[in-house]
Amino acid sequence: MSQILTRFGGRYETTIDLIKELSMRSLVQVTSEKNGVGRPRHMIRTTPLGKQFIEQLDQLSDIRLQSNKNDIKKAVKQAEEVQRLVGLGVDPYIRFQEVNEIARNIASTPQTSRHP
Amino acid sequence: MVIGGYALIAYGRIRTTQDIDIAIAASFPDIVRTHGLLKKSGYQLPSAPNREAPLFLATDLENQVEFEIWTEPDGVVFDAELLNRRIRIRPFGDDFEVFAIGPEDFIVNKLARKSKGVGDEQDAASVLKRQEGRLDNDYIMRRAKQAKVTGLLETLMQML
Repeated sequence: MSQILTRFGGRYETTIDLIKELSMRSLVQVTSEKNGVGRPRHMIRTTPLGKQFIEQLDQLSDIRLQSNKNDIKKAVKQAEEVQRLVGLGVDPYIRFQEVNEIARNIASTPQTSRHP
Repeated sequence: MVIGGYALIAYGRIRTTQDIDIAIAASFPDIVRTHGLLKKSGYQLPSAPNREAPLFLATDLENQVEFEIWTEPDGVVFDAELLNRRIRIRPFGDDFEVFAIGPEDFIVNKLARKSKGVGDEQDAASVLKRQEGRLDNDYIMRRAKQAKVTGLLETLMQML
């Protein structure tokens, strides 16, 4: 348990609840191992079903985008706008330098205080 | 060659960027030499070259420009095919020409990024849109498979 908490962080109670749930769903198996003196150690192992689940989750992450439809729509619109500019004979790098210069100036301008 | 935001403008949308991403195909001793030469030239280099790190940073203090120098860009395989697909761009006017990564490799690089965010996916989508009908489909699918981003690429294509 302590190793899991060290590695992934989080609260002890939440982690216990999570492991209980994973165990209930047969994704992990919790066993106790006595090693000499002291309290037995709880060993948490992934079951074959759990391993299969992880493999499928990995496959899923290969098709899961972080963007939503609106994000992609916005990027498509921006690409179309550049295409339109290029069609008008505008060099996109010149337009980029202009926009970038403005962004740099804004970033380097000290913020004015609201409370003089 | 240039990758990232400066290459994006050649193929996709225009967005602001405060750094210049460069990919170099070099052996580790050459990377160390490059690092040393940059240091000698007055660039600020926060860390020493490291075999495990995919990039190192260099800052041009005079012009206040930060460079990300990638020695192992995500999803990019430095081979003859990739190098042949580079194009020449003039991001700073007619006097200065540099190589930029090809559009197919640009997309794969963006989708394969370990710290990929919405912006990377938008960059890739914008290139797919602007280069519609001009991309080498077989090549991009092959590279996507190598980089294990075929599913992501197909999902993105469906969303356009």
